[in-house]
Amino acid sequence: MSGSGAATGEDKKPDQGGAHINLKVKDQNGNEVFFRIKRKTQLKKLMNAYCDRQSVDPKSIVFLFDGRGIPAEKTPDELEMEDGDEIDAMLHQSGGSAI
Amino acid sequence: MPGSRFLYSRCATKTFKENAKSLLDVLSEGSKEILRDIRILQVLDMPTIQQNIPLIYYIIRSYSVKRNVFLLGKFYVKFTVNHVAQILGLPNRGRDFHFERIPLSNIKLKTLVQELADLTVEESSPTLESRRINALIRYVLAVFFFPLKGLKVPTCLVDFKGPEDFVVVNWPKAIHSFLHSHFAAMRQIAIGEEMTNLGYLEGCSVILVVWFLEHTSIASACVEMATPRLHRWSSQLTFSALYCSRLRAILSNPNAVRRSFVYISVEEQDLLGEGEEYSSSFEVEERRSVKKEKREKEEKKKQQRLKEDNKRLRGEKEEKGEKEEIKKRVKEVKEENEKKKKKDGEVKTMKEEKEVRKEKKKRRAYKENRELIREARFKSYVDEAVGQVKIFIQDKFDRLAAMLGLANEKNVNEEDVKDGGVKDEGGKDEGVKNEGVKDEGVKDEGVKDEAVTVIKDNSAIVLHKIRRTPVKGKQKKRPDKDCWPIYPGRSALCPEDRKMITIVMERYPNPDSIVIERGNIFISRSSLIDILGTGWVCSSHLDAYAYVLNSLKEKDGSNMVNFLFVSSNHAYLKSCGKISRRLVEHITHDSVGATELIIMPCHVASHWVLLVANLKEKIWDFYDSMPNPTHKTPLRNHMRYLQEDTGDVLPSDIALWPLRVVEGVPTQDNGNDCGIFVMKYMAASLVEGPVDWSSQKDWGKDMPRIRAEMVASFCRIFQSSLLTEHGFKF
Repeated sequence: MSGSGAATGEDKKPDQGGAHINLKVKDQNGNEVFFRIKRKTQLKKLMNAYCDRQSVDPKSIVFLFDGRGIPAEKTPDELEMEDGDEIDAMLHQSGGSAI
Repeated sequence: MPGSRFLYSRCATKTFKENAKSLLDVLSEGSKEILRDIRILQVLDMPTIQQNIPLIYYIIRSYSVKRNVFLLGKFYVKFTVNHVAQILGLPNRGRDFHFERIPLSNIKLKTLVQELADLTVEESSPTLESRRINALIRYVLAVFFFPLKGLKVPTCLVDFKGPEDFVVVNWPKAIHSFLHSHFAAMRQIAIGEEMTNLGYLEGCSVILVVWFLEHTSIASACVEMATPRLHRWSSQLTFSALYCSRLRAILSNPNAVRRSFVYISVEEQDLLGEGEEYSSSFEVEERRSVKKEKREKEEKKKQQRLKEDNKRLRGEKEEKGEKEEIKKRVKEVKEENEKKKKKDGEVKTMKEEKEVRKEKKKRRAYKENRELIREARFKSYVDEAVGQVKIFIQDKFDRLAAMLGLANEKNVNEEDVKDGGVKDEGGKDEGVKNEGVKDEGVKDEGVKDEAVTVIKDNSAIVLHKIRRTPVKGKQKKRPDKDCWPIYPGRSALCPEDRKMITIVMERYPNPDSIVIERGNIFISRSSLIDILGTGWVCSSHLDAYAYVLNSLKEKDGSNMVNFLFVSSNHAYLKSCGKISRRLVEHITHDSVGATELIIMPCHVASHWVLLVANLKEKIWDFYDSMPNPTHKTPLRNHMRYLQEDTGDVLPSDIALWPLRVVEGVPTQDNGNDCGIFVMKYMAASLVEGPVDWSSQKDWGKDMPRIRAEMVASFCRIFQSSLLTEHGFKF
């Protein structure tokens, strides 16, 4: 079996209290940035805000939640995120070995 | 380094270490403790880092004297005192040390080395120990911190009375300023056209090499968390002149240059200067953007000048004819007047004067006329424009009214017109799934959340508040600047595959929409189109291809061996200290028992290579499409990570198995294809029996077709349900 990991839990929208959620984005150096977004807002907004703030190219950063990549169109609810969860912002591993 | 230009570095770590080694061996534990406390022992214990002259030459050439920074790729990168402090493990504080070349002492470098040898006797007394410590301090200062061209050592370096004197000085600052002053001089020689030898590079060039390696991703650290940073880099790390000549292209990839030193431990925080926060070493902005701004300003100025010139010219052209005539006549009149003055004394000719006045009147009348015509034209133009604007506004108004009407029918809040508009576009793709998002849009009331953050330092806890700003108009769609729909491999594909790719791409018209979603794998449309063109491959592509290979094996894998796949993300996450275990959860006793190979793509300094563990032969096969010994350096770490996270499932010595470089494999001839080559190696390594590489040399030429076929295979496996709807049978 190839290691593509576990299948995603789809379409579960648990009703957890308030409409907002606090998320922490942590980069490779350990710098932390806090965000507060709506549970049903696409995480694309958070990613773009983070990249703008850090002035980095959004294509060069990959966002991981619990070790898994985050698709930009998903929302915190869809990924079953909880208040205070941590998102890792890592440099994208793309390879081309320029000569 | 060009052939005839020689650069010598006085900073030779091997001889430096060898000379001190024999004395260190006989040194008492107490003395060693003192040396450790003043952090000299760590310097003496460093690995014998190669001089890497071509690399030093490249770095010095990239130094910008004007801005006092190094130009790596597109970025200006600062070389700071804190960097020196981190590299040497000495704190950036203490009193300033003024290095002075003159006066010279009578002590030669040889004398210092001889002194070390003389003190290497198997005796131990308090006086002897203190002499040994002082000798070592002098030796480190003169030979490693401030190596000079001359053979005699300056007085300021040998005047130290003991460790107490050494500790109070801010050495990183002294070394930093010394190196900086020397870079400027070297850079001037290095860029000179004359093919002279560059001579001796003074100062501790090893610091420069380590600084460069820490700021780029061309090589991976051997021991990642070691302090000082001198200890992180392997003694085997060498860069050939040929490789260094390509460095400029390699660093042009923005990912290849790091914003700052990574993995700063608490211990290192202590080394940084007081009151100085550790921040990015990039100098404000990208080099390109600066140039662009300059260009734009210049262009604006030029355009303004041109406009002014044009205005003048137009004015002149229209009046030119008349003016010239008038001038001519005035001249003629003057000439005639003068002649007449000469002839008739002071008698004026009234006739000429009258003619001039008439001309002037004519000119005035013409001007007035022209202004009237202009006014008339302007009025007609304004009327026309206003009419158009009216029509435009009416049109908009009608549309808005229509939309509002629709929204009312659907019981949607009126204020959500903008968001609703956007959702209609994107919502088509997602169908039922996105209903939740639509609801959110309704509540969003056209207001965008924006978190405002202030980052204080490394472990910063950050203030946050929400600023609500109204969304400006519709969201812009990112234009497809990629190769779709005319991609290079299109003509080489079979019609069925071509149709398949078209169906999938038409189904997902938004560049950001996720085309492939399976487990940990998410691939967007734009990322898939990158593969169709000449784009780089990222880890999810490789993971997806492993999934494809697995599906092929399950369907009809009679000639394929069983395999386990380890995503490159595993080693990456593990190296950053993140949770990585879940990526190897599928490696269990049962799965290992039924398999022969473990396939593990590795990301090494912006390059993809492939490791394949042969569990039967107990050997690692290594595939590299751009053979370079430096690519092998971090592989042992990757193996170790795998072993650590799988517990006792894999053999305990798997990280020590021999590494066999697979020779004769096809290699790439450009800078984009390494990921695709790794995918092809993956497929080839799974075929039972030996592979005949000689028959597969033409991957480079066939690359457009290979890339297109990869995408077709992705579509076939991951979008099978969509394709079945369109009449495909699998």
